[in-house]
Amino acid sequence: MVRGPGHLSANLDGDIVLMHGDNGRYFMLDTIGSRIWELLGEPIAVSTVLESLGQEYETGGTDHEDDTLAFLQELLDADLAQLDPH
Amino acid sequence: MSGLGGLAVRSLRPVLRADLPTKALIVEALLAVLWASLVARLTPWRRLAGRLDLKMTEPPPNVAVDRIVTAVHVGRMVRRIANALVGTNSCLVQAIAVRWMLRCRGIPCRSALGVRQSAPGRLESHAWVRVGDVVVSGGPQHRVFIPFEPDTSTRSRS
Repeated sequence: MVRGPGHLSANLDGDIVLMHGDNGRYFMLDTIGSRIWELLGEPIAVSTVLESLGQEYETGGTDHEDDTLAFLQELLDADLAQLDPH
Repeated sequence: MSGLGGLAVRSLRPVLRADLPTKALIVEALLAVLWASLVARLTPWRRLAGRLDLKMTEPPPNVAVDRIVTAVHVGRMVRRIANALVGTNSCLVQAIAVRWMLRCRGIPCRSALGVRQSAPGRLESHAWVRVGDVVVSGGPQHRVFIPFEPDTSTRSRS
């Protein structure tokens, strides 16, 4: 997965606010969402995202996976991110 | 005169007393604000963002002082007109109007759209226009907003 092109972003004290480049909608990301957005700055495997978050936030298991996958799906549904074919 | 008739006369008095160049500027600003109000309402966001050059990353060019002064006057007149009309005093309408008038004068400018958190979970946005380093529309409120910037770090293929 990777960020979609053409969007705008602003950093509000560590939390990212996104503006969709096509429809102007705003999306405010919390700390973890902002970190995921940062990881999507380059094409990255979903498994790597899950692994990175698990290590960084020391979740000690897979508790975070459902929430992370749901968030990634939201990004896809909102056309903020896209699947990278490579 | 009293009542609304008196209000209309008071509002028009500065216009009637103005010199010809100022009257021309007032008329131009009025047309610009009305046009900008329509553009803001009817233009799809993607085209509007392009029109405002929100995705431009190059720094604004230097501009001579006399042109900055002109731009400041334009911005003030647009603000006065926009505030006098109903439904046109948004920062976005003023930014569009100011850009149009500056373009007519060949004065380069840059628009910005910014955001701040006005309350927990509540976002507020603001638009402003700069000529060189001077904010000619949307200031000084712009100082508390964080400007949006194009996302340039992605390697995604569009």
